[in-house]
Amino acid sequence: MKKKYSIFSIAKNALKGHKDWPKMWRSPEPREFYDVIIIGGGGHGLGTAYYLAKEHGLKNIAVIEKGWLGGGNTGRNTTIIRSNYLWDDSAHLYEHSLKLWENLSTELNYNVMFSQRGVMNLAHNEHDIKEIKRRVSANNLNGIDSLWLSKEEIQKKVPIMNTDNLRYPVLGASYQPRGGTARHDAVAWGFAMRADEMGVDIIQNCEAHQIKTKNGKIEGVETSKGFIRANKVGVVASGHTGVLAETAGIRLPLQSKPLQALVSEPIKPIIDTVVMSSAVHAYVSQSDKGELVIGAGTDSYNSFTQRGGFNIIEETVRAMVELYPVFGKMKMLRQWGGIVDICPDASPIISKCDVEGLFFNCGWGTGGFKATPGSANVFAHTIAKNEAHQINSAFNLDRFASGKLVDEHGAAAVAH
Amino acid sequence: MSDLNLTDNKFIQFHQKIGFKFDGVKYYGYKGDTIASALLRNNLKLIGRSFKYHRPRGFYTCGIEEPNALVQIISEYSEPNTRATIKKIYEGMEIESQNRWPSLETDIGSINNIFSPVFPAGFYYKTFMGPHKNFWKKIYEPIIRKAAGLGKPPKEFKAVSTHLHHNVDITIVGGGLNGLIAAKSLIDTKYSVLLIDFDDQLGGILNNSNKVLSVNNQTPMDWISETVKEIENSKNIKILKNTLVTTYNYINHLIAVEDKFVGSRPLKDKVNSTLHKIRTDQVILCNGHIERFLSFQNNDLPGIMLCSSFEKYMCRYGVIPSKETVVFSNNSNSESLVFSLIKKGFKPKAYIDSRSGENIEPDLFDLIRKNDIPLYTNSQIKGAYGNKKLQKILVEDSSGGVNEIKTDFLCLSGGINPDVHLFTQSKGLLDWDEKDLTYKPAQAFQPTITLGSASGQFDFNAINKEINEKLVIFGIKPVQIKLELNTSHKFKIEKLWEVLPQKQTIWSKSFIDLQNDVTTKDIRQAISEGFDRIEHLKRYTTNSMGTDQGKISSINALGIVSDLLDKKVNEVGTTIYRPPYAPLSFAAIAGRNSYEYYDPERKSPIHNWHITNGAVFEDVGQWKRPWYFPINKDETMDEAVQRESKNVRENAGVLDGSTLGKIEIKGKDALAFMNLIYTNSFSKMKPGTSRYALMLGEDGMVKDDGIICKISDEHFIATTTTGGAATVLGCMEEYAQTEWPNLNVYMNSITEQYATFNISGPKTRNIIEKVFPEVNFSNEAFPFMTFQFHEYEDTPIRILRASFTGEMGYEIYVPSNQAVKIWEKIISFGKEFGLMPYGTETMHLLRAEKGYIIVGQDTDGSITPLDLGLDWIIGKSKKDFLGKRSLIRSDTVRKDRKQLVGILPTNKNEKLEEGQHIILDKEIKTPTPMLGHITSCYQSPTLGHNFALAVIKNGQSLIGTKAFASTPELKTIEVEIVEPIFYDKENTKLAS
Ligand SMILES: Cc1cc2nc3c(=O)[nH]c(=O)nc-3n(C[C@H](O)[C@H](O)[C@H](O)COP(=O)(O)OP(=O)(O)OC[C@H]3O[C@@H](n4cnc5c(N)ncnc54)[C@H](O)[C@@H]3O)c2cc1C
Repeated sequence: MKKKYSIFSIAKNALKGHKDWPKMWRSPEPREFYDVIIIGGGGHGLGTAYYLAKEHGLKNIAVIEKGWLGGGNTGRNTTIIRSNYLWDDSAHLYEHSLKLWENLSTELNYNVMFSQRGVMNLAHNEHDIKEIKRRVSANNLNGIDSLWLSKEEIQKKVPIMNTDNLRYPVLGASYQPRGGTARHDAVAWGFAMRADEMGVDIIQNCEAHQIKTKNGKIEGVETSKGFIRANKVGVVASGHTGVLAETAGIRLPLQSKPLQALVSEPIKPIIDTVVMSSAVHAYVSQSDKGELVIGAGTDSYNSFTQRGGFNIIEETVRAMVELYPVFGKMKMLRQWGGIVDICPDASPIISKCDVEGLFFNCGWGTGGFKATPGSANVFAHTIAKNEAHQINSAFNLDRFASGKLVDEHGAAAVAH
Repeated sequence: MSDLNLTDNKFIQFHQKIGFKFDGVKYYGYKGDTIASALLRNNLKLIGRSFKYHRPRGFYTCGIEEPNALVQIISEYSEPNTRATIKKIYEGMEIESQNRWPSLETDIGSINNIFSPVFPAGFYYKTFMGPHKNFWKKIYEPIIRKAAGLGKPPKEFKAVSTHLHHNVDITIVGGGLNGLIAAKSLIDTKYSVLLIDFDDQLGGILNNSNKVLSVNNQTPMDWISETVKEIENSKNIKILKNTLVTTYNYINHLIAVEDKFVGSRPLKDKVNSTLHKIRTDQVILCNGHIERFLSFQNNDLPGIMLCSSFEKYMCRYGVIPSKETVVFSNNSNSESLVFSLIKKGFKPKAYIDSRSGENIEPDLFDLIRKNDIPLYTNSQIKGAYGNKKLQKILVEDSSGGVNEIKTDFLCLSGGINPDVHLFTQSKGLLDWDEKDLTYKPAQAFQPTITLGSASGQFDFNAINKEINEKLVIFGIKPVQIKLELNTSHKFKIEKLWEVLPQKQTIWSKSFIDLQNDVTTKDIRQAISEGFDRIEHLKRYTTNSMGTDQGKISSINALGIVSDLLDKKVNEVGTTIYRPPYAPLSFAAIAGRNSYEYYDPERKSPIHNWHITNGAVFEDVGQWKRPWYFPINKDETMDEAVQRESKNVRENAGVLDGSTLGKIEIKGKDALAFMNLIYTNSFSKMKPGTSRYALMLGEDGMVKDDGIICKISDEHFIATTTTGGAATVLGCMEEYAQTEWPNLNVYMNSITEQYATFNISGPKTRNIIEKVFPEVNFSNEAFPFMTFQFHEYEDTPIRILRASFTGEMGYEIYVPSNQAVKIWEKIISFGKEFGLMPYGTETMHLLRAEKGYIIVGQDTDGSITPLDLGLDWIIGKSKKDFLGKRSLIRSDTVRKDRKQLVGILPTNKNEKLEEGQHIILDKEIKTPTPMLGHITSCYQSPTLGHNFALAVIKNGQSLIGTKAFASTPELKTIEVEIVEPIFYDKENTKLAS
């Protein structure tokens, strides 16, 4: 690690008026050839490059990003992190990630502000209760911390919540204490900085136009900065992955839709945990800056514009003011959207494909931020070794032919 | 008081004194005052503390762009972060300053200012990582969180707000000079027009400055009132005042919010705000411009204000924030302030301009000279100094000499920007204007027209031309407005973004974002670290991420960055404004769609009977269903369910099944359609018979079930689950319309048209024979799974022989409006046979004993018909049906899939629970492999112990073996895997 950060480095630089901090990353022009090109400079793509360099000894790597680092969903999400997924395959993947999160700030020597303030999923009817208890039970057997909270326990943790006097009263919740939030931008920047230090070329403003293949093998990528040859290409372009795959003649089972989020004006702390409710479409946590970070839903139709319908915002806000009566006197500061890529089973694809040297990491839909380090880690393995890591072996492309789906949007699951 | 004159005008009613409290002290203002104008009247200049360094702050502006003056309105449920510069006062209003402790004057947090050298941009990314990771959670983060945030949380508040929809041809945003001219030109045209202004007084710049002397030979005020009257009297134009357009969506959809209580205390149960949703063919943006500031050392001190804001306080509110202000500018916009000040007799203490004498507006130059105002041309303010208020400034003059000027006030202008917020929200493109040094609308993305300074047209003499050119598409008569000006008609500016301080220390601060306490040093640092993309810079430094979205400063940041990088501004980028234009109240967004209107409560036609008879309800989707019927207060749910279910098995029970979905399918190809949508084959079925049927998804998984009644090949009635009704109908419509459009078939929901009563139990026949004496209920005349139409006292009814409890039973379908009558009849006739109503919980128990599944409880979207042992339901000879293809995929034909089984605790006293998982080992070592989970579990009065249904791996072949159920405490309960039928395996009851 070349750049070392601490209170001492800050104090030292303070004396120099903070003028001499080193650059976080270089701005290189693309070379002619790379061993691996990663398309997409979001958290997953940058993380993949980082782990390829760090754990697999690859040095000649490029990440190409059409805009700016982290400008996709990485910088647009509500940053909820948890691993309390229902199915074993998902639980292992997200738990792998959660364990990496727990050490990520130290590992990168960059504070990603992983805040383990706990994540709550509310139950609003008998059906929810059954499903949530089932998930809690599965989590516990998978060694994942997961609790069932009674209404009274919820009230204690979140005093501002109205549990009784609303259309769908709160009856209980699941709670994962190790879940929480992190600072999204910092994750992209941290991975980028350390990958760059290990020689990875991070090339912004470089859009992949076409993935070129020949005789079933990867040739390289046609980009806005010219053609770049490569032995291997990993596509990690979230909402745009489907479009890129098509340029290589591959049709992925993905739908791209806008997903929206919003923040309130900053106020002093009022909610110390993350609370999600699938039933009434309301997710909230409070950022360290004091803003309420609120997740809304997806539009019901496919789209590539980073803006969703206002009705979706309304849906969420009307649930919010009922669930948290103090929100009635607060205001929405900003709203935005991101394009999420959703698989039919609401689980990701981390897989090779029929084209030799071409790999996909996509389908994270509404909930892939939490997977960032884990996904990147196993994807790097998959690219380096040409085969899946045990943890991502279920998330292959073949499952859409065989029917071995990991159905996480079935009755029991929650988004984000 | 710093009042200018005390004669009433349309803005301020000086005869109406208003008392209000700020930080506990009582002050007086006048009707029409904002909090800011009232406090300035009282010579109060310190209003709050800044976000990060807790620096004292005052009023920087006089409008919605205000970065500093955010206050908490205690008298309105303690609403935080309210802009003092727009919120009007009312009698008894209570206001508090924010982000200070213990008081505004003495704020402990200001110690941050001393430590500020170690709080550079993004400092938190670089530290707080040691000595142990728990320190973040336990120590650092709680401290950071407490320090952050502006206002305090508000009090609980029940939103009262409403939504209003508009569909108009043209929407004009902004009723200033250009908006009024545009509106006037549209009077009596064929267009319906909405004119929206945020202010309660139309007129914009005419009200807020002395720039314009006359309009069409009238005083500006006379012209405004005449024009507004004309517009108000027109038939085709509607004016919305106090209404802020916050959001410009696709397809010309605007969101605007109207404050219903401007200048008075909002009433509790009255609509406080209206959210207008406007769909319009054409938008005309006349929303003007925003003045920007300049960066120099301590440019945040209370006593520093933008020029046009100062002038607005004078013209609009009759208050003068200071009688001896210094003016500093690099552009024409200061001219009108100097003119106004002199007119009122408050000569500026000094006029400082970064331009040379010949570049200053000649009229302004003469005015300054004539009035002996100290003039500094080619000069810049190096810094401002003072303790909690401005006391002096340092000016570097053209010769390089530094002069100290003592002053308590400084007016500032760094140029003007067209207010492009809404235009960029609409996805319109901007272009950098190198002459006017600002981004201007270049290319609309939607049908959007911009007029006046909103379009970057800063020349008063060009107004007629622009309007006539741009509005010609509406066939307006050319307008000829004659303007006389007090100031020059054109805008001129010279580049200046930042003045470097005289002496740079590690504590020096020149702010670029006042609300988020971002300094130009932070910008430099970010650039040197490589955050040179404007979005990175914004996120790293938090520049323009505050509640004002950097309205007075974000362009300055771009200017500074472009200089640092030696690039053109448009190469650096534009910031993308995100909606809303200004913070938008959650209550307004929620409107009436919360609380009692959150989601409709659907109720069965006999809901009131259930209430009268003490039912306890559960929410099933939107429906309220009777869960159980306790006979008295003391009976628990368990007791009630045991009693109800025992009674069904021994006598008879009746369930209100009205909430189950009912869909009528008709058409020449109805049979073909049904064969495609459901797994079953309906071809050979005789009219008058019915069948249990499954609907699959394309993945082959069970999505819904129900009973299908065949009236003829062209007419079916299907039932669905209560929660699945809408989805099933939607699915049918989707496939009919997209996959099989050739089929002639129609479907319609009849769920609410009919009530359904399910009577079952050994004494059922005795009861219904009494209720419907003319119907022959014998096995021969009315076999299992058949239905008949009858009349009951002139009411057409349908009776279906079917059962979900395992007992012999009938379902009676009656028109909803006759439901109560027939239900009561059944109940009263059934009494002698022991008939009792039962709820959903008993229904669940009874069907589970019989091994009947509930879709969504025993299935979860990952279960095929085969997994449920329901392969007999699949019409295997059918060429196709929804999901068929997936049933032969390698994973769906796998032998060891999860399958439905029964579970019994080995020790009959043990209680199992739904959601518990079935495992092989007695001792749990995590992670442990799971066979599956318990989907349904009840205490059976018939069996006398607990029993369960479960889906477990390879279940069918594990029947007869032992396994374990895991408890939440990670203990295990030994169980036996059995057949999933616990009651009447031979089906003798159903047909009895
Ligand atoms: C509003 C919202 C809320 C969310 N909330 C949560 C949450 O609370 N918790 C959670 O876990 N997840 C959440 N998610 C999902 C999460 O953000 C994503 O799953 C995750 O960030 C995906 O990361 P990524 O690196 O794969 O994609 P991205 O960050 O989107 O990165 C993909 C990158 O590829 C680039 N790219 C695209 N096309 C090309 C091309 N042709 N050439 C070059 N580059 C290209 C894009 O510019 C982008 O930078 C949310 C998403 C949204 C939109």
